[in-house]
Amino acid sequence: MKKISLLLVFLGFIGLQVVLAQTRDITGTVTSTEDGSTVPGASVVVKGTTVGTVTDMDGKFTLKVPQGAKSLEVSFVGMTNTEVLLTNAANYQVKLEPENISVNEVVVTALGISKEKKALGYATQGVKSEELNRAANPSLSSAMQGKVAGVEVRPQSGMPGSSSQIFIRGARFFSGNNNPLYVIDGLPIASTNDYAQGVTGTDFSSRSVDIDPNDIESINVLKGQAAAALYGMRASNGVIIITTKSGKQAKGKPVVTLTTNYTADKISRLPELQQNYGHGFNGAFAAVNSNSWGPKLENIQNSKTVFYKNTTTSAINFDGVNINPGETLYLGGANHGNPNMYYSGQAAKWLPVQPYNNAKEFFDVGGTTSLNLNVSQAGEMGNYSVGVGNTKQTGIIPSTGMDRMSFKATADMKMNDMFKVGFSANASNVSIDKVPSGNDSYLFGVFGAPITYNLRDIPYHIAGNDYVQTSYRVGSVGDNPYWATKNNKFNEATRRFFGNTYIQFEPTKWLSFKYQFGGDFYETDQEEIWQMGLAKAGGTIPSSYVPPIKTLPSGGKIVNRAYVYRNYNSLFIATARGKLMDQLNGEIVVGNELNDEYGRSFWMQGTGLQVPGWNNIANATTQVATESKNTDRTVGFFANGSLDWKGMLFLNATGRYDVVSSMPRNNRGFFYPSVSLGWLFTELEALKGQSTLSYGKLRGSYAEVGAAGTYMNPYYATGGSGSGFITDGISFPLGGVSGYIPTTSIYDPNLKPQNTKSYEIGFEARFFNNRIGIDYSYTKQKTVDQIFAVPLAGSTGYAEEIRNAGSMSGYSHEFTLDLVPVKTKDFTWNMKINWSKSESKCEELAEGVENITLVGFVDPNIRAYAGKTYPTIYGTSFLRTDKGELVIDDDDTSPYYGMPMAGGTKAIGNVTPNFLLGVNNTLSFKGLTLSFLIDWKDGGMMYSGSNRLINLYGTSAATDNRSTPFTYTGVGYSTLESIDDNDVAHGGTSSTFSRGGEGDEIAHQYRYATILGSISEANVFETSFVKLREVSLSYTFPKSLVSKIYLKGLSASVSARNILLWTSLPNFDPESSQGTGNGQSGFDYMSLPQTTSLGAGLTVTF
Amino acid sequence: MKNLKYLFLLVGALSFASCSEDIMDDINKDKNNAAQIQAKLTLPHVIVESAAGTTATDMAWYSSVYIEHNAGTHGQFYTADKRTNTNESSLFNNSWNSLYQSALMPANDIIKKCSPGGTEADNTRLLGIAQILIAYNWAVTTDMWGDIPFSEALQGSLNRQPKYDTQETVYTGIQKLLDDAIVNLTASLTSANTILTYDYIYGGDAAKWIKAANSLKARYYLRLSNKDASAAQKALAAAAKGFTSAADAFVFAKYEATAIGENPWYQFFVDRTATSVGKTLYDLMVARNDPRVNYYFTLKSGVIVPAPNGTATESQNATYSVSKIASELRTNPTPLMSYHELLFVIAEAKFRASDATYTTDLKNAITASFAWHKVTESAATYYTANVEPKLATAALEEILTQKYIAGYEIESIEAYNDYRRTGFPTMKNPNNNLAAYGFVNRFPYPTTEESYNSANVPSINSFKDKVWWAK
Repeated sequence: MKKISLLLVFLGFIGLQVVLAQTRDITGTVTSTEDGSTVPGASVVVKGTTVGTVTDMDGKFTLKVPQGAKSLEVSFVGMTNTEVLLTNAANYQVKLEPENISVNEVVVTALGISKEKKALGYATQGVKSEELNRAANPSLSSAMQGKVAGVEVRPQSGMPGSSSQIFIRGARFFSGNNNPLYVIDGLPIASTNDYAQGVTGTDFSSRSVDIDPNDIESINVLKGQAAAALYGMRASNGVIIITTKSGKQAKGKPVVTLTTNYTADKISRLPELQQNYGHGFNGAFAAVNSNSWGPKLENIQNSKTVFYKNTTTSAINFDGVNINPGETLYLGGANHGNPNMYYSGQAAKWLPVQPYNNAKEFFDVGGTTSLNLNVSQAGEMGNYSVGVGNTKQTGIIPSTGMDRMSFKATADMKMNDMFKVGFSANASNVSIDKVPSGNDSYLFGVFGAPITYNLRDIPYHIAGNDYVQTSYRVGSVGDNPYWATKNNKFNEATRRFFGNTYIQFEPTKWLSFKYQFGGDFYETDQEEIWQMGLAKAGGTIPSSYVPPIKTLPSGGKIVNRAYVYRNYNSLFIATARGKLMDQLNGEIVVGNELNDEYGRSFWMQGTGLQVPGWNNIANATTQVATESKNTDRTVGFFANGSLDWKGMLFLNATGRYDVVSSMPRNNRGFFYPSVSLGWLFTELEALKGQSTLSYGKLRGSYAEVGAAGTYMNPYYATGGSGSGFITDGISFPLGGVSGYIPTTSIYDPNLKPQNTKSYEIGFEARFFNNRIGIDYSYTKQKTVDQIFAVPLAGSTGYAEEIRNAGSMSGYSHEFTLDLVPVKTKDFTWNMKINWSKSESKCEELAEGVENITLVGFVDPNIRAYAGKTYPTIYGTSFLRTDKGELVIDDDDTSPYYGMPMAGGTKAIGNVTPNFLLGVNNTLSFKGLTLSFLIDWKDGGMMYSGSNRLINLYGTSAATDNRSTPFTYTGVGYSTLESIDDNDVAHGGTSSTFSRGGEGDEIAHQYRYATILGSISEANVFETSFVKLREVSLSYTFPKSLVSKIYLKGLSASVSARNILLWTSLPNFDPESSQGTGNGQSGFDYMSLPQTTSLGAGLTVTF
Repeated sequence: MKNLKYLFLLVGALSFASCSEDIMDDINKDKNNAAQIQAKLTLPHVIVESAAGTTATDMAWYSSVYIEHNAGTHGQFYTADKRTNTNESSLFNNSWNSLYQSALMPANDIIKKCSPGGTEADNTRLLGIAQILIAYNWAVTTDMWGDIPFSEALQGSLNRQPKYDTQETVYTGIQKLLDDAIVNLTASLTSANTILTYDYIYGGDAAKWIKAANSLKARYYLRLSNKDASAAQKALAAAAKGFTSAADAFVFAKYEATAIGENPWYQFFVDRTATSVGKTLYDLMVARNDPRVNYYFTLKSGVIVPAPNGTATESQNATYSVSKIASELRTNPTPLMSYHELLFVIAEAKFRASDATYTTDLKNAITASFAWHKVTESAATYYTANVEPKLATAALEEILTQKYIAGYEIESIEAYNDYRRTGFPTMKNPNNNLAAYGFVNRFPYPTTEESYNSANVPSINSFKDKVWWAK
């Protein structure tokens, strides 16, 4: 206690003073009103003091209370707090009401305004700390998966610090930000990525990664626009309101909680690879090639592929075999007295011919250790909570990991009856080590490594030169993943502080004023070392190993980025409430908010490195740097009026006027209204007090919210020249001269905000004394006048025009079912089912614009496509007839005879799932609790570049059985009558074509590597899945037991996460995709894998 | 209570003041880019883009595979050789957009500024230079695609769907641009040269730019040999005012031996290893005992191993020889029009005009090509032993074959144009004979046109439909 007091003083906090005078002893028993059972572990505190105790195993307590003490406060998790007036009696019988599904739950709504949940005319849904943290997920966004209806979390991967896209009720904007606003303890904070990832480089973590989920007390999700309307233009996508631990529950003595967790992580799914065909192409063995289209394993040792012809005048020894002058070294060992062996130039050894599972061997078992210490206390004058947490992760890919330190402090203090002050402060230091994905992925070399190449054991660099790699292939792509993880480095380190302080003044009961000022500050520095010798960065993997190369490697690149961010938020709110007339209460809130943002980013790149391993920009012969500054301000004025008639009808209306700097002059101020109505019909006399239908509410709302765009005047930018095929191109300055070009973007000076209109209707009911609860919402929304870069035909001389055009509409059904199927004295089974179906449809883009690209390659990519659900996969399709049949190449001189043909580029898949279902179960028996969450995503599609590539390389199990014929049924190309402008074929006769029998093994290679590899539609798959998202078993030790070891509480748990039960996607985990943002989960290209975790944890309270 | 009123007023007043239009304008001011610049600052970009972007990237690389200078042995170039991914709108989307947005548009920006009514209306030298560069880029665009937006192009939101002009119209426009350029440059011969270092090619030397304009005119007149009976005569008249030595050639030679300054062909070799030596070219050279093979190709296990066009193995550079030019010459210059090309143009035009002295020009052209590649063997000996004997029976074929050999591989775009115009030399890729595929007669229109100018973009099949001047 002394130490903690010191800590509080150190924090500038005025310690709680406890003056104890004379005391007397009282005793009592706490029981539950529901079944009369006693309540062990309930907290009993003398009101206004820190004097308190907890009840024993029999629900009994004894307590020394000071003379003059007026009342006791008795509380227990899951039951309503009760105040007991002290009389002269020495024994008290306290009855607690259970609140398994609380009717009078108070929730935090927009701008920190607390409201009773029953009074809301719109849907919100909460997640409590224990629900969030029960499986010890270190990532806040993925810890929310399956727990809130209508919230879809699309994670990029399972790597430490991986980003996620969150859609609440689908998407609203074609290419804008569809992420919700995060508000922590009343302060809106930055939560998205500083940089977007496309199809190259590394993922950039979302800034929500800075938050340790252990610090969170509860989350309330404001799903719709009516709920979020008071936040104005930033809240079109809903709001995630996070309340960190405040200490309000820790009445009495300080509560110290220590939580630790350890989990072991492994790759969630490995692709199935063939084990029968070796390294090579066209059925011929090659020791240096990117493919596994070689001969069957048993034929390799006899291979007559030339490895080396001795043109010197003396014999050369190859690992014990002499090749005389004029002789040839064939790869197959049978020619050299080494049957069942082949000569590997990379290993400089004769190696056995055998299959390897390179993918399985590459991944590590990762681990996550987390530790969180929290001290909380509450008393008459206020409450505080201070915490420190550390999360350390090592990823399943070597060299990856995360180290997060976080600190938090919150306090509220009543100065007197009228003044209250408080603050919330959070600091974090996060360092993430990553690896690139997409085009730069290391996984090409893992999943694509030939079956006969022993990737793990053949040295990844040549003898005596660490920086010259060896690999199964050569040239400028296909880096050896072992070499790359050893030598490259991708680090992202963020130091952040955000917090706010407030003062609240309540001169009378009906009037209050609150002023809050907050700031969010962070800096991120990123270091990318693309080591010299990396084929991806201008190096090459040498093709010749005889004699060993001693020269230095070429290439290499260093990229340094820094991002500095600062945001101030000033918020003033005045509230007046009172009785307007009999049975009618009213409340009015008016206020003002100012949000001022500043961001500056620096980027420098050094190429042409000179010294391998010297990881500093000074090592680069060419250095290029850029900077970017951005300032932005929003000033909002708002009002909120609510009426409550008889506790039955609740009307709420809001209005907000926002002025934004980023819009063009004289077009900056905009007004948005919202209105909502809730009718608690069970308050009608006829329905009141029933146990069958214990609670029933109808609600409806309408809202309009705008979102600003960014306007810029025409400008000139530095030029340069390049191509999609080369990394660097030509940059200025060149020869001491720089060149500039007019920007290829046009901005419309009449830009206006994009406006979302939405309505929502909903129904809530509870039956049988709250044993069953249902909540259903239907929403429809439409966002018109979207601000986006409307693409222009290249021939206009411009790439895009930033203007208002087009609209997107969406609807969402959300259904929540709360069930308590079993509840006895010792055993309770709680079930919470979240089902939702959200669909956004891109109604129209702009005149003459049918679709726009969001992320991906030129072909395929992810687009917003007029008339289709958002987003849509786009790329080369199969050539089909008007009846939908495939067109087959029937030219029997063609190597592609019997195979499908490519049609035009078209919409080839729909990313949106049909529905999401999360089934949460909690079974408690005495101190034992088993929780599990089953997450089912039905439908939705993805372009799986990884599947394309393992088929193309001939490593996938699908490419096995090469002597078995395959057939295609379709219309022969030569029989067609015509192919129209939309690439639809007409006429023709259908037949079945067969290829790939004995002697035609090469047909499989043509099929996968040449034909299907070039038709994007062939690689679009459905991504339905069922996952056992979380399962945890925890045991809370009895208080009577732990009190003997001077503890207040002790619980231990084991948990597992992300156990994939089933998916329709072949070979890979469907929750692994490419790019940041709106296209996420629709496009994969050797994207980083997901993990399955198994762990154990311990929580100690003292 | 009283104090609170003031606080309330203060917060209110500050809030209103904090969002006045002037303050908001200041906050939204572009802090990262320049709003207006002098026209000459755009010139370095236009030159770099014309040389590196237009002449030495995707279009040249694909042309070199179609024309069988090279064979594609990896990735997209492997499929280009197989013809399976060749008719897709995405293939040249980047090239088309680079031409319009990064070459034509900035060149047009200079032209606008330096034309009457512009901010630098007296800068006729810069105007003439920009007109030559824009004409060059228009020609590449129409040669690759045929009909293109020309008269209504480059107007941004004023015309979001520009109509397509016929290739004939574009060619008339190109000759006019070059004529105007010559007039403007002639007018500027006596004025001060303020362009100097901004002009990477001729340092602002107007006289040399005039020679370049005339040489280009000759090239473009001859391009219409199937369409204009007097094409050869017109070409010869223009060529007479063209380059008089290799020092005059229209060549970009400012590449630097740094990662961001290398010739794109070198970068392409290093980053992609996607092409190997084409057997078609190699066989033609071997048949002529051409000494340039040792300057063009690398050795594989001591010998040159060419890749058979259309049937090569996907092997990156593990199996076949590669271009010595691309793989070893990091800062090799890019000819927008070389001296030897002009001489080949003259030779062909003279032959077509029945002027027997074409043989001298052909010999000079070959000599210039040997000089470009720093070949130590005698061009004259080569000519006499291996070229001259062929002229009696197949003169035109031999002129174009020699031009084809000389053009390896950095002039592959011109080689591709010449083949489509004349059919020489004979291509060997067996996929040219497949019913569903064929020789790539033109580039498919790009995605941005298909998607955003669909009302105007012509429907073509790359394999079946020739461009106008090739018919």
